[in-house]
Amino acid sequence: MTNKNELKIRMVTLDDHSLSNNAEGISAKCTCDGDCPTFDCRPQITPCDCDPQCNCDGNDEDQERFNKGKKKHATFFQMG
Amino acid sequence: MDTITDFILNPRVSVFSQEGRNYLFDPVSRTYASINDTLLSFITKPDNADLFNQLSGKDQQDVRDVTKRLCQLGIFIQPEFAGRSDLYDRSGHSYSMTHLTLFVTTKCNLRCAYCYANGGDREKTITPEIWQPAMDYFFATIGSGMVNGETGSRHVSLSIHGGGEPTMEFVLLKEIVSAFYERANAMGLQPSVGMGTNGTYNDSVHRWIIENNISVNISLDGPGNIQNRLRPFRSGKPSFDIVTHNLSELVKAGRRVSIRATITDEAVDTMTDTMQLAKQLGLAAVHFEPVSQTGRGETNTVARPDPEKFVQNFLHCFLLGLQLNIDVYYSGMRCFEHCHQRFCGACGRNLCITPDGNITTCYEVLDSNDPAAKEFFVGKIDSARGLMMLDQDRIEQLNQRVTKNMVACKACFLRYQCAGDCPAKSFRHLNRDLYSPDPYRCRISERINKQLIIWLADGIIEPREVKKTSVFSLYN
Repeated sequence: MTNKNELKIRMVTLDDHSLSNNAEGISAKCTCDGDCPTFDCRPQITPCDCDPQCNCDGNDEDQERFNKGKKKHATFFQMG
Repeated sequence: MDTITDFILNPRVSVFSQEGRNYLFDPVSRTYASINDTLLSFITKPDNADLFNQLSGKDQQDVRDVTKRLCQLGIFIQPEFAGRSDLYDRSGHSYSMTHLTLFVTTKCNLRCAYCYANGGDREKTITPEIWQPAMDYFFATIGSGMVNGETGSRHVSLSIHGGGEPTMEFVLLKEIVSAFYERANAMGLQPSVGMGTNGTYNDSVHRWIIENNISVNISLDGPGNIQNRLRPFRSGKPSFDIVTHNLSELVKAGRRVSIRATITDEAVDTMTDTMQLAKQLGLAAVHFEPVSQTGRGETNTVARPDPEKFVQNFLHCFLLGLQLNIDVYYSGMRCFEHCHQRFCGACGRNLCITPDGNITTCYEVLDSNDPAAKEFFVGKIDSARGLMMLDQDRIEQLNQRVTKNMVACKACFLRYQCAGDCPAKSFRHLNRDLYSPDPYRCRISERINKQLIIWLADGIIEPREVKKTSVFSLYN
């Protein structure tokens, strides 16, 4: 039997999109093809099945969303 | 939630050990974790029911809590999705059309010991017959993209890059930038202009930079003895004083100023001095980059820095930068970035025009005699007819240089951020293959990025300290 408190983890997450992730670890909201740094597409590598809609290059309003997301979603988890 | 044994570690996630400690890195959620051996056994094999059943009730609950958290982040997934999670496919992607790069001239007043472009050895300046068709094509494509709904961004940018010193042709430079601003404004776009320069320009150029809101990236290799030895004027005179004067003037004008420091074997031990100099000058960022052994750097007596020395000094400078409030960067420092499919725009997305009218995707491949030209030249401007002649097949081939096709990188923890490293340096090292990353750079990138992951996971550095440098850079 393993003793208590033997499990230790310290974890920093810069993009915590856990509320929107589906079982595949992909944002359920994502509508882009996964190659731009906008809010919705960052949590994924695999392209969604939906039609590509995002043509941004990380500028303008998308950059604002990008920055908001970055500030909002950094989280910390620790055990042990 | 489902039981712990229903999940596996997402293939995109890497786990590594260093000095007896274990670390986990997820490139997508950008999660950095330190974990002990006991928990590591569950994280790497969560489907091992026997292991789980050996735990006490409290520890089983702890494992469930961790599992829930890792599932939320996509670090644990259900096995049926494992085949998808590492796949990426892309088709029908259009050529990048929000960013235009012009190489104004090969003239140069400096004679840098390592110049990749042999700047100044021949004098060729871009003509209106070359740059105007390029600008026509650029804005026409933007226009049709907006009409068709393919261009979502209204931001367009012009980069004036090297191969020589652009301010040597100041009258022409002003004309090009003015035309770019006028055409963008007429279309209701938001233009920006950036310029790479050696920083030896005069006061009238400085005033133009400020008045026209030109972002500049200035090369300064370090303290006076290094700068003057590696980046002298063609006459042999030192350049340090004029470059640092112009940097100070930009800072005085309220600019957030960055420098690019090319590191050779003789400069590698002065990197810390460069940081102190940056502090004295009030700079915001320092971009350190090991020298490329191409152009003059291939034949002259400059050598790449010892990779381990570069790593150690870079990491020291990174921590020093946190104290001095100076961002420190290297092109392979990617572990804090979001996922990329490409290392840079050279992989089929840049539109760069040389003075000869060649169209290249790589800032380092400008000469038609360069063996790499056959890879990165994607067209030619027909100056007689004022047309851009693009080789779409070549562009598509470069577009294929993405993470999923980098067989050599399949097992690398950094593959989704680094995306195979610099394709030009891949081509130049030994076998002239775009798909074989330069092991010298891989070694540096692995060491630097793993240490940064460890520092963030262990709390040596904080999330707010890992922001990517936001100053203008021409090198990605």
